[in-house]
Amino acid sequence: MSTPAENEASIKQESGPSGTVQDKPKKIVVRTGDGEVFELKEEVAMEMETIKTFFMEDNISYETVMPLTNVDSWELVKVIEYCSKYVELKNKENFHKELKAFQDEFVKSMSPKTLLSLSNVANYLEIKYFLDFICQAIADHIKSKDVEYVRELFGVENDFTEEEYEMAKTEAPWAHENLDKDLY
Amino acid sequence: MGKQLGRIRLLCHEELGLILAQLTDPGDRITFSQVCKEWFQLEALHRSSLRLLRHQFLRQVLPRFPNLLTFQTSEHITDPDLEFIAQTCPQLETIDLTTSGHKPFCLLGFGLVELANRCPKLSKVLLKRRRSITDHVIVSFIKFAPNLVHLDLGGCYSISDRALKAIGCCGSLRYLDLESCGFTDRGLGFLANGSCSKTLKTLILAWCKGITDVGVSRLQKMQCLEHLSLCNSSRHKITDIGGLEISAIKTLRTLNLAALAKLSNRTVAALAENCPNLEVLDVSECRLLTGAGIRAFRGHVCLETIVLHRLHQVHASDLEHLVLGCPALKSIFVHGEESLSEILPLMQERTRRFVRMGSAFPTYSSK
Repeated sequence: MSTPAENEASIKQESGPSGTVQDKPKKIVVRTGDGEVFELKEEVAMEMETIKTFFMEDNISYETVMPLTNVDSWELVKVIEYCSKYVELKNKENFHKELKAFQDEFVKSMSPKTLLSLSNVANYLEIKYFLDFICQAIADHIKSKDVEYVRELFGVENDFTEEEYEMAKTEAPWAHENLDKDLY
Repeated sequence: MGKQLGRIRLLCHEELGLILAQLTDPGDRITFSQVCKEWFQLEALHRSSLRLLRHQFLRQVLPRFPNLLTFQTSEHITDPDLEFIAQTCPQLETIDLTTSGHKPFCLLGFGLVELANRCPKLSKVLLKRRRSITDHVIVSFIKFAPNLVHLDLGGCYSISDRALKAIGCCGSLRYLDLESCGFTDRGLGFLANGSCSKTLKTLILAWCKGITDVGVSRLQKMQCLEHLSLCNSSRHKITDIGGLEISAIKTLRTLNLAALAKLSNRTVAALAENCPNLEVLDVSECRLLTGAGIRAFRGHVCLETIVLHRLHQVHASDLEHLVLGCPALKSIFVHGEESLSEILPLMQERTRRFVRMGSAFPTYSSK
């Protein structure tokens, strides 16, 4: 691993059994909106564009604690869990298969509301692959559900008037239809 | 960024867009659009393809879908309509105006050119049976759409050599359908000598009355042609001379020579010998063919499907020969119950299952 000169002070150096010097993996420290402090491995932290930009753009020292005011601690725990796994699996041979297994387990017990919170966090921290995954999970949740369920889940109010709603409901059959993308 | 409303965070458009992208079932998309007005608009903004069922609703319906990539209608359509589509949906990549041909002829002229002008990504254009399309329109159209990839002018009877000259200049054309068009050998020459000869993979020249062996021979210059149809074209002016020239197109994978009554065993033997990649062959109604010609395919490594409608000089034993000699063969198609009932009893158990009713290509008859 490379060692930027200005961070040398923050790296603890340990001797290995054979007497060679080993660098401890670098850590990035963040504080969540509810006041908890987290130490992230550099490689995991750099998966989050927001954090990456914060440190890289102005060459800020890793000693600075980055505030993540829009993220709750439980959310960050989940994000770290996902990104760590992703980084671990990234270069492996069965990447897709193992990731899918992990993804299924990850969302297993999550409520739709949890997913919605996580999608906000994924967007704020700018983790594209995580955002894509969470949105896919949300989409799976609303497939085949009715309008009322979706409204309640997302906390959205129905602002159609009766006539507007009737028009929205019946427009498709007589005027046009969606083509399946796959037809082309 | 999401707005915060107490503890519930409302999703921003980006996230909703990502969710919407995963909803492919039309029912789910309708549900999504009915949640509230904002979502109704959002769903429309993310719609990428549309088929218009009733012409009179075009102007009412289309403005909601400015990001369309594909537009399709088989209804009556006018030049001002196409201009309107061009103004409303500049991202358009595909326009499909294929029609059944029973509509009143509408003028399709400057509207198409306007479409090409305003939609820089337009690459696939289908105008099947829009009979009022003329050479003049196509020439102007190509000027603004030189990167066309797919063009279907089947059933546009007025298309002649002049249009083909312009089409020949396209540098990215991969698919060209000229079924029933009115061009001659000269037109084929323009295609063969033009830039499109480097890229054309599919060429449909079915029911083309104006071509002869001379034009067909020019097709040799096509550098990567894989799918060729000459079915029902100039039935007596395409002979073995043309047939032998076609066999020189080594890249051929599917070939339709149905109803070219002058073709004989010589052509079929040449195809068997010179076209190693041939997978599908239709020689229906090529009455001069006999069993000997069909047997020439014995040992052909790629042949999967062969269509042999109404070949009275080809018998069960020839079919058996073929089945046993072609390792990749999956189907031999004959015409109708009668043929099947005559042939099948004469074949061995293990070879019978390869022979079926049907065809490999869509029928080009009166549609």
